[in-house]
Amino acid sequence: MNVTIRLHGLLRDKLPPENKGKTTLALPKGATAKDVLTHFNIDRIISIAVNDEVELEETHPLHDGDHVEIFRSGAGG
Amino acid sequence: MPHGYNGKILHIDLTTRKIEVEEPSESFYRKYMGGSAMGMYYVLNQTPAKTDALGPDNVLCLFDSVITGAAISGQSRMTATAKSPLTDCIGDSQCGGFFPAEFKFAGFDGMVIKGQADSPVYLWIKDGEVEIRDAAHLWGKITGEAEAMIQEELGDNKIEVLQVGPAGEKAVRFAAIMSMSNRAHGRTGMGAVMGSKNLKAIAVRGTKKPSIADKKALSELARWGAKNLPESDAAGLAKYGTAETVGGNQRGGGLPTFNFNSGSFDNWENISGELLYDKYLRGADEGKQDSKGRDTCYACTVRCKRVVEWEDARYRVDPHYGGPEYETLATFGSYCGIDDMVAISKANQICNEYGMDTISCGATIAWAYEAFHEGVLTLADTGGMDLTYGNAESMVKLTEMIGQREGFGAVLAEGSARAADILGGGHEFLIVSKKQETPAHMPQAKISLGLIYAVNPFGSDHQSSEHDPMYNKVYAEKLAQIGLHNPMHPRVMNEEKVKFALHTQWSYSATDSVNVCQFVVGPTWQLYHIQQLADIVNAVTGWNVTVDELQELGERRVNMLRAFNAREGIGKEQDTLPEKMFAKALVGGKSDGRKLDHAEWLAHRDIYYQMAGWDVETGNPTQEKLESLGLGWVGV
Repeated sequence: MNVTIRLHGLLRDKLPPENKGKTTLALPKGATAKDVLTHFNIDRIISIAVNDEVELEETHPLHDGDHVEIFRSGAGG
Repeated sequence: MPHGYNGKILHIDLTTRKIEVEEPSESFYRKYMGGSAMGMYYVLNQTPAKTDALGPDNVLCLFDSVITGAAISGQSRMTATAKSPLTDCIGDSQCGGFFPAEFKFAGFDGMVIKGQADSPVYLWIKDGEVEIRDAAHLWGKITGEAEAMIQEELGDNKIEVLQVGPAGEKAVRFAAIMSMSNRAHGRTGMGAVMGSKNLKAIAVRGTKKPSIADKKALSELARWGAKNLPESDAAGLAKYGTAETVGGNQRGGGLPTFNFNSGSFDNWENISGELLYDKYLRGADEGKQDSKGRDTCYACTVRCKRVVEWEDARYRVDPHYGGPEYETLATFGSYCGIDDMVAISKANQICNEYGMDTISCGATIAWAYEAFHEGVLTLADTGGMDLTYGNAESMVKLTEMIGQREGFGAVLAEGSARAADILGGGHEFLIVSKKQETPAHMPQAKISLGLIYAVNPFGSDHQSSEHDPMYNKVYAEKLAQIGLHNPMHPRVMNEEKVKFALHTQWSYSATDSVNVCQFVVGPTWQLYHIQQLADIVNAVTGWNVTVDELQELGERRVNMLRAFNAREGIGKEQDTLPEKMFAKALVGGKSDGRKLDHAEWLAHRDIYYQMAGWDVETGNPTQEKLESLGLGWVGV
């Protein structure tokens, strides 16, 4: 299955600059948000949103066509 | 001869023009270390109770720390402390740049300034010599102009200048003390205090660096920071600035919008750190924003400061005045329903030209927007200005009018709480604690942070404790250093989270006394953790400071700040959050329908007092607590 990905903030740098944090990822059936984190080697505190549903657990199951966004948690100012 | 510091503190009476140098003992430096705690020692000893914050008796302290000027990231910070004309409580604000290190190299560790000059003056401090000079020709000048004039007349463009702009001269209650025309002691109105003394600026040049006890250890710590920055959680801050947090706060339902009526701003991407980096930083058009559009402070490898350069038919944004931080993007942006990056950058520039806190300025304007939206303010009140949410042109114009105390701007220059009193309405829209406008992290989304907003002695502040999402297993090892062992879900609030708030408050308080940047040193995501701060202090001074000693330093400072308020008759009754946060549910986004439970919140506040060792009835430090911290001399 394919899911669209958008990485925000510094996580954008895991993709080429011209992507602006956007890409499509092919994942096996039964994949979860954790597989996306593993693919991009993300092990920090982040916030996962799937199809605009936010603050999801890493175990959240993904489906073909899902849109996954990953943010870094915000502090400072 | 001490290592790391000069052992000399300047005492300047602007009324008598008397200048003295005090040389305190090493034990004094070890006990207070500098910054806010050391400044508070003099504020508590020399400022009469219930003094006029804008009168000559309000002592203004500006302090480096024992490590300021050492060659490592995050150390070039100075703290301003005095009674606040905005809150009537203690005032406290930190600023980075190059001035703090230059001041250290000029031979001093801090300044205690009292009295009032009979005409505008500025201080010229060079390698141990201090001169009070006429500043009549500088009065009324915006910061960039005054800075250039001082450097020219003293014949040295390496002179660092700390100054007030026209807002400080005109006692705008949230006026800032500015450095480099783009960094600010922003919060609590310290610029109004400095301006009330007819003190326009402090110019400094120094050539003598204090000795370092263990240069090798310090170099290793500095190299460790530079090497680890790219893989650290501070790396995003370096590249995208604090503005990187726009997206995270939005997604968590915590981006204050329409004056805190919502935690979700539909057009958030138009004020994001990514867009700021991609389009508006100097050099972005040629892909060189990392070299041209980011600025830094003395010896800091992080380089988080933004430099915006832009010109269009409406506005020219001058890179000399830097660029907006997250707080600025939110207060002038989402708070006001404005998604115009150029207009926000222009408002940021005006604040830096006139010397104003962007948080209080933007949030005060947002308060006016809501009052206008609700019909409490009318065109007759605003002088014909349309304050409809989203009106960027009015926001920019109003910012300048506040800096000039012109028309309706003169009312808002009093801050939102006093403006509501003056106008006789709109109190229900106020977003303040202790009359200080609330920063852009929402207590409805970060509940323990909201508790600290309320109990913090100088009003709501987002840099006085760690934010809720950081009580996470990812940081377990670092948090264990300060006695925190049970990570919690970000939105859980319980006794353990109160402990998290208190213990991290002490950590942040320690960083405001050792005067280190809280983006570089802190208990969780920052580049260096608290044990490393102890290591840095020890490398510089030759002491054997521990994490526990730093935590106690932080606790000592919080108690000193709190004791000042107690002396002013300010205690538990002002440890509040805006009524709106309890009474009115947020609308839209992830936090739709969310509000705080008042009874639960009050219970957590009492737990906080108990944990802090304070009187639960009054919220004041007990004499026993003060004595345990070596503060028996303070009294409450």
